[in-house]
Amino acid sequence: MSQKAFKILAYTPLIYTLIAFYTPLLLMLVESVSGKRGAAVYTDVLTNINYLKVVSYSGYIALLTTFITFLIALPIAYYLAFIASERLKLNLLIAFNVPLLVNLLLRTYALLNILMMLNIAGTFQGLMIGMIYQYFPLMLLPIYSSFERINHALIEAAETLGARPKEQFLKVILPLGLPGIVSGATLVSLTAFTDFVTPAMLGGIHGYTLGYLIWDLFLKYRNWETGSALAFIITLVAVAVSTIYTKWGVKIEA
Amino acid sequence: MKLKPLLACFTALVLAFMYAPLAVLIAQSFNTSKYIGVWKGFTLEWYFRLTGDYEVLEATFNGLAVATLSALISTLLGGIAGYYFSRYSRSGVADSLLYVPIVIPEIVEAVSLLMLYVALNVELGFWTVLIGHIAYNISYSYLAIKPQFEMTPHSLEEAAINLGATPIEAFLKVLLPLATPGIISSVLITFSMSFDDFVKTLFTTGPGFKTLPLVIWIRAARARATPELNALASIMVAISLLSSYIYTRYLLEAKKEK
Repeated sequence: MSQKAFKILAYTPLIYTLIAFYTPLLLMLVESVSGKRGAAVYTDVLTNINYLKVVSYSGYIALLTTFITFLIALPIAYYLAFIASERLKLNLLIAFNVPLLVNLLLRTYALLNILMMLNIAGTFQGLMIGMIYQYFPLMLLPIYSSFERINHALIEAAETLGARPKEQFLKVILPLGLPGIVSGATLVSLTAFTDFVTPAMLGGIHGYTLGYLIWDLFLKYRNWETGSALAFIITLVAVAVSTIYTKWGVKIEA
Repeated sequence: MKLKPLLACFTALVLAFMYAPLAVLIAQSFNTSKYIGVWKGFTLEWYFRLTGDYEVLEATFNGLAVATLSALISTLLGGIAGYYFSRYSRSGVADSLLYVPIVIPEIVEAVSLLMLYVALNVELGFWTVLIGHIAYNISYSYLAIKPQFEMTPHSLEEAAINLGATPIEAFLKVLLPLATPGIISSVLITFSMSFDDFVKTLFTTGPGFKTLPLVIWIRAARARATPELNALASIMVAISLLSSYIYTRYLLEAKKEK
């Protein structure tokens, strides 16, 4: 293969991404300001009380999910990183990983069965159980991996110098695990914020979130102008948040 | 209060919470009764019905076709780019261009792609779905494979060439085998993301082309008791569990060996 052909091949993914990913985004931006209102559509979207309600409701669900999954993941990450034996750790890691790889719709459908059994399908409570179920592993893995990297000598040093277990945890382990916590929180809050499937399938009347709104604007009301503006705002938020994430968080290895 | 047993109990409890829905689903697929939680007897009827369900069979085939093609194309292109930008060129621009698709919410990607297709007035179906899947998967392949090439020191190729290998032989016999873990990850990740994709497929497909997640969505959204769906879901869960078990096992063991 000649050097030139190789170079062209190597650049193909970039060109492909420019055409099939960046061009649509640009088109969306153009579409959003091409109506009669022009750029005023953005102020309309940002001041529309109904949209703001949906956005803040989605934000509330996302933050609540982040907070609860954090509370659940923290002790388990601690157990995995500092207490469990090597063999148990390996098996538990696999066990927590595996359900994450089952198709999202199937997991949600399976949950729907359980929630119907418990008679809480379509309630806010049921929705939150679903959100926690979906997002808990995304919180656990980054926290665990940053706990795992902590040098045990540091903890022993704290102990030798008289720190009680509670102090060791709060003053040594938690600060050193912060990058993982930030990663997990970013990952969960961002994906939960724009999730569509879980709220739509499990939430009933409580499931009208941002993802649903965009879906409706595009497929039901055919209001592409407003839909595009809203989608573009979310894009900016996502890029901003993930920039913080790469700056402060740790990267999870595949 | 003893901390260790408490934590062990809590971990076990959460694990049970993770697996309970899957267990109920599988049990339900063998239940004679259509109603969840009411056990009437063992049956394989729902599985037999499934084999005659033309919509499901077609959707399975569609999904396999899209996932296989998108996994192979993305891995090939992403892999070549990963090799090129780890060896011959500065990769800053390529890295950032290919990083953005991963952090953008899928629904944004889906609606914007739909707008492009509508603007170009193309017929929605197999090709539009495939093009959309590749657009996303290329980034994953690139990110999975490039670090593997980066980790391999240049001296290995030079040694091979000094010992008489042509550059192509050096690539095929030295570099490629060392990059295999990344390539395998790339194929598996892109295949499963493509096969499981729902949001983007939904927005970029036409009336004649459905994949399994779409069929599950349509049937579950009607919220009818659909025992065949339980059977279908159980088969898919079993396959996912088995393959992801093997995959995570392989990943973790590989990590242990390092």
